[in-house]
Amino acid sequence: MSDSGTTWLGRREHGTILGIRFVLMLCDLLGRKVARGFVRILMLYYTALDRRARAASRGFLERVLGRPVRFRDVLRHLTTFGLVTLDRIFFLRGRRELFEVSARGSEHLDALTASRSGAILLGAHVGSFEALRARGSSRGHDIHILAYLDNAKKINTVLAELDPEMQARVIELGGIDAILRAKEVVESGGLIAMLGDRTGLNEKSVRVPFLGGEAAFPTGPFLLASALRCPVYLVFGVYLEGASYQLWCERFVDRVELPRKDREAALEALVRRYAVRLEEVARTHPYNWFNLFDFWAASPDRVGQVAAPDSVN
Amino acid sequence: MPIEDELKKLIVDALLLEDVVPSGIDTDAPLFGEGLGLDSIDALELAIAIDRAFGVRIESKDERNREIFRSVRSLANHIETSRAAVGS
Repeated sequence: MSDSGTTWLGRREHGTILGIRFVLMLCDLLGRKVARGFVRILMLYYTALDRRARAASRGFLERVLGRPVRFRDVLRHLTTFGLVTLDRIFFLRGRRELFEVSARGSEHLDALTASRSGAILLGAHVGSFEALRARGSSRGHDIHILAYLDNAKKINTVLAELDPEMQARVIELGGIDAILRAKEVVESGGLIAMLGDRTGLNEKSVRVPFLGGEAAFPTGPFLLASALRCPVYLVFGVYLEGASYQLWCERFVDRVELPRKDREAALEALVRRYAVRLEEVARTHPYNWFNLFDFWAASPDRVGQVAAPDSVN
Repeated sequence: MPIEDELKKLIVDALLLEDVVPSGIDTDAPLFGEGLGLDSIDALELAIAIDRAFGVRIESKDERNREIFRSVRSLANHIETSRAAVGS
């Protein structure tokens, strides 16, 4: 995965805005059901043609399924990615009536919102962050997304048109302003959502056991929580089947205390615990794993970050 | 103690820089990137520490942030002007 510009994920990014608009038009015209048919055909084509996408999927599924991985497993994985990506469009358009969304743990978010207590919501490239966001906004949760945008600028331009309000709630990583804005959000009782399975905030990471290997996870979210003295909650939004999504939020740590001595060890312990939890989720919902690159590589290619469905946030 | 020296001490304390002594920080050297090599979380910790120690809040809206965080000297200047503005 050294040539980052040529994987299918990377190439997708080169698609013109026009192309994306065309897809949006089709969605409007045809509706979700027909659009899903197109996506299935498209993903069959990708799965058959793109060796790297297959390798990335297979590499993950072999670790998680514990049995030989067949073409149809890989196809199911990549098709799920395509279908969830398609659903983002409908979620962004506010078409929540199309979906059956069940949620656990929203009492955490309701309580944080009611008491205006700031917190960090740690998501992952698992399932759909859009589904989470849609529910959050319908319940008045003040969620701001802290993430890299530059890699997915084109798609974002179009998504921003779909939901202008979302744009205002995205804090683009990089520089001092972004981190100060995150601070102000938490101080004013808002929620900062970020991804726990990709470095980005300050590029610092630690390698911890994950699905039978070792993978690098960022320490940034926990350093941020430590600096802001706020709790961290985990959020997941997994796609089940048909039109159903299951969302949940769980408490992870109330306060990140990093003692001056053993600071690194305390940080690593948190990251390890996060990786254990993420592993459980990945095992339960393997086809929702959308880090479609070699997650265990010594220096993981950033390509997956380009277009995994949630990175756009 | 001049604000510059207070700041250097603050930087070492707040950011737990183990192999740096306050007097070893160059007042004009860049704090981020090639200088002290601080990152954005460090900037956040520093902003919080400055708020606590000097009562000066550094806001994300401030367009001069890049300039303010350039060096110890620029931070010291910002603290002085902010305090003067409040005091007057």
